[in-house]
Amino acid sequence: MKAFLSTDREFSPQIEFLSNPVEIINQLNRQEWDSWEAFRLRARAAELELFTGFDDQLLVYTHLREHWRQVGLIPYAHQEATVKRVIGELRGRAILADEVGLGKTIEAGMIIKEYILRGLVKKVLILTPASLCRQWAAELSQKFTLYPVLAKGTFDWERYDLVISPLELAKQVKHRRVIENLYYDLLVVDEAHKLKNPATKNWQLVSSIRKKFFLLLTATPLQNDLKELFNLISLLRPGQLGSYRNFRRNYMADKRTAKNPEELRSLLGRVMIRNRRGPQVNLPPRKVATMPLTPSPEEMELYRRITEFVRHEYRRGEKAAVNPLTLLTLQREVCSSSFAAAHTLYKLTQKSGEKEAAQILALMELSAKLKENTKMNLVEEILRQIGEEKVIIFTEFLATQQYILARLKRNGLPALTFDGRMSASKKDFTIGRFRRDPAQRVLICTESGGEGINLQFCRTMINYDLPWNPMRLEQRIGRIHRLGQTREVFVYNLVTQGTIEEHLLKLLIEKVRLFELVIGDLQKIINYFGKEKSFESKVMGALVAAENDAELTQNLEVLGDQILKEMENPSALNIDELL
Amino acid sequence: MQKLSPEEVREFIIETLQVSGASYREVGQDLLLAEVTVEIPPQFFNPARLEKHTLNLVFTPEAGAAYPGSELVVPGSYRLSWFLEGLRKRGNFTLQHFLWRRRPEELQAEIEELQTKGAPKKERTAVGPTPKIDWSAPEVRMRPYLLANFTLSYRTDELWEELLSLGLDMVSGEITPKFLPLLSAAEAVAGIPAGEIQTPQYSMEEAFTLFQEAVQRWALSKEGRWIEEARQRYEEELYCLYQYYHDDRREKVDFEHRARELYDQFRPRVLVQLVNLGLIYLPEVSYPVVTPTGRKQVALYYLPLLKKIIYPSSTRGTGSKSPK
Repeated sequence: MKAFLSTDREFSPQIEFLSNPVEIINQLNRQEWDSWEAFRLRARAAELELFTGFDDQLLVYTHLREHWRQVGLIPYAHQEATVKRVIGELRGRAILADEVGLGKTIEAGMIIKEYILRGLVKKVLILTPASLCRQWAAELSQKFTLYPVLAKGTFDWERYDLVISPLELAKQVKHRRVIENLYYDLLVVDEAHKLKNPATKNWQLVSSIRKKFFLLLTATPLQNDLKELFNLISLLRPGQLGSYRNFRRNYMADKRTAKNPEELRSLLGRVMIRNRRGPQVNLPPRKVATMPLTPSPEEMELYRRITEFVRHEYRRGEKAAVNPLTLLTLQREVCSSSFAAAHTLYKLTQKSGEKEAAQILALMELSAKLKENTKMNLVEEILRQIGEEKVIIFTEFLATQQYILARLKRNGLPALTFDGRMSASKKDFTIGRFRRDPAQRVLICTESGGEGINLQFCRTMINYDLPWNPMRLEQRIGRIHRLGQTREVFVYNLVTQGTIEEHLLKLLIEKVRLFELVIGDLQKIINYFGKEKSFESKVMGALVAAENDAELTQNLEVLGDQILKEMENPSALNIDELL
Repeated sequence: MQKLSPEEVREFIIETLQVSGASYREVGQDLLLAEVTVEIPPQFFNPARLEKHTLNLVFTPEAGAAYPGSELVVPGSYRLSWFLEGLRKRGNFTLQHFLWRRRPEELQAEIEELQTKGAPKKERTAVGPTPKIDWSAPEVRMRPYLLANFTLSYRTDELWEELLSLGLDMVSGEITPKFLPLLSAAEAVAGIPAGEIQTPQYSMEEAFTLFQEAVQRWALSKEGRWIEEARQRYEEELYCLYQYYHDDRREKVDFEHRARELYDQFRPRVLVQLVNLGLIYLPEVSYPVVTPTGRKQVALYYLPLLKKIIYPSSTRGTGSKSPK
């Protein structure tokens, strides 16, 4: 291997003539002469297009100034600084690790365009989650007059110079074979936190693609383990952190605690840029209101009986007739609406044994009796009060979404739905219609459908139900509270009194003070919430272990203490402290 | 992209409009109204459709503020790139001859001034003592040249470019650099000139070989700092890569694959692209003398537009025939 370290390799310049004399002579023989003025002007044009070295001036600003004026885009100072740093100091290889909502896509778009304008990049591949492909394409075309192709067939990779593809598609063997034989001037990978394990096909694919410039985009470059950070950086620039042995010896006290943070910070700073909200990057304020409501006696009865069923089954452990994940879902569903719970109960009746079937059937019948959901009264009240403002209603469940839609329609209020089942083009169409059609005031969105979409033209959000993980709640809010939002943002959290939702919100608001934290501080509790399933399980554990409300309060209090302790732990992983 | 003043951008746009035959109107010093033909892309209309658009162009931000809705054209702007892109289809080949208007005594003065500057002395001694020249009766012919403009891209992980304009004397095979600027003030007339033309001694294929050799010499004569700096950066990257692979005993093949990738990224290359090509004829005057032995010979040739003296010994041929 050491032989390769020898730099005696041929380094004298190779002259390559790109014009074929035979073709030129053939063209000359056609005698299609142009005027002397045109000839001189052509040479002058070629001279003007020459790239005569880097300077501090970004071409993208002058090139798109007129276009940006038309589409109303004014890049922020932190975005300009990031682009300059990536192109100048970092030589086109960087992890863009801005906090959520600070415009990583815009930064990447500016870098792509700048490189193309400078003549340094022609062939570009953008790998992103499937759900974000269209959004990327729209951003590039609308804001940067770049027109990418969404990869489909195996021939697309070679044929087109600017391609967007889901990682899932690119790693399929037939596609991967083609991609690995190509050379990309620039590779961009969005949601790059999915590339932390070298044993995965994702990591291996990205590693094997030949590229000159390379951008990784993620808001969470560090989550659980310093080794993951090492893997991510090594994907970008192998050796930046040395060998893993070296890294472990020099920079890891244990898998979650950094050693020599100053030195590590300096190494990370050479490949990673992280912009945080703060004095330089200000967003308009946001107001979060808890909207408590009293359920009807029938709703409360259903909630009580389902909670009992869930608690009983959960406690049976391995002997339970229903698996814990389904129980967790059922518990969350009944907090959302009876319709959501009915859906799972119906499925359970199909699968369960005779003994449980009667009990589940009784619960189903009870839920079927409920024709309305009290939360909707409150939603309608909010809609009345806020006038003509556009509103996004978030729910976790499709059945609840359909109920909200039906109820609004019944009351003469048209609404649009948005969920993960929709095709990409229908999603685009729906967002466009919501944005432009004044008659469409309400968008009812499910969690999976809403991932990664930008809705900053809207400033009001109703959380019809609450995700049990605060990061997901933050991601929902991030859809409207992000760069480009110019007005104060209002978030309404609907909470049914006497349910786990009420306790959970109390824990997050009063104990953890979730909505007072800035995202950077939120990063501190990612350690705790990191694996959302585990946090949800903890909430579930607190619920099933409690015999009554008082015990539930006490259990959640303990959970809150654990979170706070984690946040105060100085050795906890925090990328912001490392950068 | 080169730095240009607003005046230079404006001049360039006006010249482009003139060449393309587009109508335009200047409003004061600030605003330029142009009517251009735009091709609507074939994804909307097949075949592509042509439409007339009116552009309101300004060249400084101050003028932009004075004319709301106008479009600012500056280096790097979309509109300037649009004009540059459009020009790619124009001016690729030209056939011209050039006029000259000087009296014999003016020519004599020019030649004598050049001779006194000393440069041609060496060549003069090669032909021995110069017989007395009759300056009043120069003979006029046209000398064929091939004018080629090239862009040279010096690439490592970085890029730097230049335009190289070369003129190949198709009679002597001599190549003159910075050729196009020499003709900037000359009066061009389209087509082959009437009258006597020197016979080209080189075929087009030979001409391209000569061009390639000249470009190669030009590129290799450049100061080598760009190569050394690229090598240093390459070595840093390679060492970084080596640490990652060697210390953790990772796959050798993988290391080699990445090392090769690095080499491809940093190795110096000069990409040469022909911009356009002109077949041109430049006026040449010659002064015959009679030697003491009574033989008639040419004392010197002079190319007034290039301000260049050629002595007979430095030419490959002087015969006359139609151009190849």
